[in-house]
Amino acid sequence: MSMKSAPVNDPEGVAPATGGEERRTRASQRTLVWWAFKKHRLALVSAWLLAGMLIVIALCEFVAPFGDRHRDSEYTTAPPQVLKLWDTDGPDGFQWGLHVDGYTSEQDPRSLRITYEPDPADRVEVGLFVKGEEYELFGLIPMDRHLIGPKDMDDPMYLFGTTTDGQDLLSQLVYATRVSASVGIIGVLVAFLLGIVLGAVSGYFGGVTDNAVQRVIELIMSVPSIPLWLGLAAALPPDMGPVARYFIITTILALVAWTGLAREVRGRFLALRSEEFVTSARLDGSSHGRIMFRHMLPSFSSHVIAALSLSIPGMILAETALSWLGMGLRAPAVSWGVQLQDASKWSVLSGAPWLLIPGLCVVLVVLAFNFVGDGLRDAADPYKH
Amino acid sequence: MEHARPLLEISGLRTSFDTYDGKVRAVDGVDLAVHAGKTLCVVGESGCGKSVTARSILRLVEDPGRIESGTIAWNGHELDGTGESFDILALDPKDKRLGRLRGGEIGMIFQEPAASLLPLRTIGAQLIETLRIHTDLSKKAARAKAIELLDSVGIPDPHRRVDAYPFQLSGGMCQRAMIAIALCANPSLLIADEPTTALDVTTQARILDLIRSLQAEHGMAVMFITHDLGVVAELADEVAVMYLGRVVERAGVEELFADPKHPYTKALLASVPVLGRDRGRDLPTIPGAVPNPLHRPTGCSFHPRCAEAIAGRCDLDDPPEVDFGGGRTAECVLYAPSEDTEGATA
Amino acid sequence: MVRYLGRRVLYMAATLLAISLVVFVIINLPPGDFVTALQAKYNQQGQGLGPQDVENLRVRYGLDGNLVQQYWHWFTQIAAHGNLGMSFEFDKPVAQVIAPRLGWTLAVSLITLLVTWALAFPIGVYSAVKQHSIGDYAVTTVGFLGLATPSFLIALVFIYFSVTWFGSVPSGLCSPEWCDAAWNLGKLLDLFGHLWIPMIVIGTGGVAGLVRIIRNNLLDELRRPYVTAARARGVPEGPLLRRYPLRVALNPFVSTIGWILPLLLVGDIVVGQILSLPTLGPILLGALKSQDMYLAGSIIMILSVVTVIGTLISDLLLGWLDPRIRLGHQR
Repeated sequence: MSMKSAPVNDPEGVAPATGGEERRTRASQRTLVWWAFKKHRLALVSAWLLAGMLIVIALCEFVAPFGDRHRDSEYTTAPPQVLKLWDTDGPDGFQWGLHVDGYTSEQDPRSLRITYEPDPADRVEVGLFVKGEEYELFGLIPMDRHLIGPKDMDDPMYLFGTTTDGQDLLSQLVYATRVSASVGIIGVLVAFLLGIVLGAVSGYFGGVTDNAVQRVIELIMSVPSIPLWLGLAAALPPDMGPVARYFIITTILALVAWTGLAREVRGRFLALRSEEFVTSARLDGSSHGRIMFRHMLPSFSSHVIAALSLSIPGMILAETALSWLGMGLRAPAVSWGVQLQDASKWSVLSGAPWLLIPGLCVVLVVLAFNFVGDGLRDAADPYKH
Repeated sequence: MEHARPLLEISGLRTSFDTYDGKVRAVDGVDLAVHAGKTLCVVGESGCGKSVTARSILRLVEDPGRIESGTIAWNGHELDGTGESFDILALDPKDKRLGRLRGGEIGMIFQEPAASLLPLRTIGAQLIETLRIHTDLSKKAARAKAIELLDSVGIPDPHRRVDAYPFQLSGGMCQRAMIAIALCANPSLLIADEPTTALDVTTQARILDLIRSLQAEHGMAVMFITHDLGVVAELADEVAVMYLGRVVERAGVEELFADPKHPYTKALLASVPVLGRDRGRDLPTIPGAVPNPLHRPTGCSFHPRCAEAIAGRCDLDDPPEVDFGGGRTAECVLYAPSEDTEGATA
Repeated sequence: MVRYLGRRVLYMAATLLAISLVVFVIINLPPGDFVTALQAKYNQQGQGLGPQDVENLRVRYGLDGNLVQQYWHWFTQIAAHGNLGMSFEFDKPVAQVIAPRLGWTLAVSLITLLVTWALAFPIGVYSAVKQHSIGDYAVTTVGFLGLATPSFLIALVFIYFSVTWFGSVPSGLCSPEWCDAAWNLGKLLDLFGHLWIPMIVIGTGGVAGLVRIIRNNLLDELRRPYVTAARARGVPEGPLLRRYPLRVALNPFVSTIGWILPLLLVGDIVVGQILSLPTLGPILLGALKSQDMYLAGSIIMILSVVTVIGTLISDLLLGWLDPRIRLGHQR
């Protein structure tokens, strides 16, 4: 009876853990996930890219050289300018100074079409933190400084070129990023709320409840989503304001997208239901709600975040396609899809490939969300490898 | 007494796995020999490299695993006078001899019988496929032979079961089917990698009985991988005890149970309950857990858990392999014939 | 198998019913109905409609009762007579507007589906079997890009290069000189000459998605114990791959018909718009924009039905391929 050795309380008995291993055993779940995530280089780069995007979204008015209503009918469909740090053929030879070349225009005598060319002789001074159009930062702080812009507000500085309406593509892109990315993020959050509640209830209670919810989800999933989006969006009154339209489109996208998330959440709850910590919480007299959202949900929050991150691209792509088709957001609201509408006429596009820049943005952001989601998913599953 | 020439001779086998955290040396210099017609049991805790050793024999170690060095001599042909011995590890992957070895001269069964069979094809189809690879039976003859084999491994109603899918059979039945497949070409060696671990106790006993009777019938050698000392006592002629990728003790089965040498073996034996003796008392356990092979302790890898470890020695120097004669060895400093062991108490 | 089949068919019927409800809701969402629109049109032309005329029209189009009665009328008209209602824009029964284009839509979608499979399967298998090779990395990269790029963007890029290199955009499905010709080899070749662009634009996302699915599945399957066990019994590598993991990885592939078909149909909406194809896509868009709701609703309904039938076919194929499903061991 005295032979009982201590398998557990024997810290000296176990192999002397190296520093790394000790750190590992003491780290919290969240720290472990973060360490695993950091190894995924592509995901890390993508995370920084998205963080940058969030900053741009927050400081949209400050980052954009011009306001979202800015129109310069003098320069329509003008090509992008190159930002230069110095000048060699200026009046005094070599000369430092941030500037771009202005434009010369030329009209085709037959088609009457005006084309613009950068003109090195016409120097447009560019500065950082210049005075420009007035705006209110965060809708509160009145300001008139812009991150970058022409020193003289009326000079043309169009780093990404202009649209067929003579709007600055760069500024529009900044504003569009705010709209498109937020449609994705807000839409996923709405979908997530629906998905997590129904998924949790379905997976936690199981049985008849589970069956009913699952059948409904299967039914919704079997209706092809994009025609459904189109139909619902088309039914909106055409004279609806841009803000209302934005929220309704987001809601429509979310209404169709929640099913996937609900399934993911349900699967996790189902797997955890018979775990001991759940039983003990139940024996402790915790309420169902408390067990579900305080005990179970946090234990797979990294999975949930991964699933969220992986659902955002679908949302963004849907909004872009919907708006591009003219069924989603409409001017004066700007989103990537709305911007790309400008490029859909091939006669315009052939002379103005820079109109496709918003498309590049879509691809980059979608890729970034995918990589971050993949990285998180792998990091949350330490045993997968 | 020394046996003539072993059927299979593993020496200096090293197999490692590349993981994100570094290289894991799962098998770290293993020497083993299986003699014709005999049963070798390889015993050890999970993670000690016994399964990887078994898989290395048929070169089944998959990416990110890699056999780094060592030789595995197959003397089957020399023993029955049909050809020369060769080193399995030196064969080209496309060498016909490797194909004949796998499933032909060496049969292998696995831990999870149901998962080791493809669920989408009937057990008959998978058995006939193997038969036709290793024999030149016609389709019809192979089917008849398949039914006969299923009957011989004790599957009732083999005419019907030959067309059953694996998921329609119990785990025990699946393992019987796996045994039928492994034995279909009359191998001279059967490698059994924890074949009864996933089965319940009564099924376990029946499968062991089956293996024993088939061994007697076919006169084949068996290499049995297990963590269960009860199984060892029941089946083994010879035993190899593994710890962290190394064989720490080799012995005949009676010697091992009567007089274990290595402290690890002693601890293992002490943790097995004995009917009558152990009623009402706590069983001793081996303190601590198997260390992470990434951070292998220096010196003897068992010293942090060893009750007889000598400070300043076991934690620094690699233990010597002591040969007691008659195939008996132990890898422990306690039996080293040098003078400075006097401080040690056995 | 019979039970499985019965379940699936029953399920399909329920789904179709649900779809019809959703479509009916969509049709009725915009304010006013067909008769109000008609009324407005006549008013514009200066011929007012009397209240009696309006009432008669309502009865004629089944718009006189409450919503439930209206749904019932609409549903029975479709189910019993194939009557999908009137298109306001075309001033013709919807069926007549849709019929000539439905064939082209299905043809383009099915050919794209076959090509998508034919491309995705070998690429996915190659990428999984040669994991971590340069080819695999290339495939994975292109796949990520393909999934991240909306199909209309691919179309726009295509158009840009087509215009800058060839000076024009190949639109439609046939060249003018062949369009009215009877079917012969020349017309067929001409058709394929036009078809490859919509196919690339519509199919890229599908190929990228499928490659990813088959690669991940096969990678999972390659690590299963049955692969090691089969290798241990001497099955040569080629047949091993074909008879074991590929057989299993084929299953999820088959079940993708359910989602790839709507993807292709939607691709058609986009491409049809840009390349002016004689398919349903452009009409659907036009109908949605002008709120020609019977036409729009009917097209959505047809696309959904095609999808549901596609899902049923893939379910049946799955049952045929996988004994676990056929024998009822797995739902």
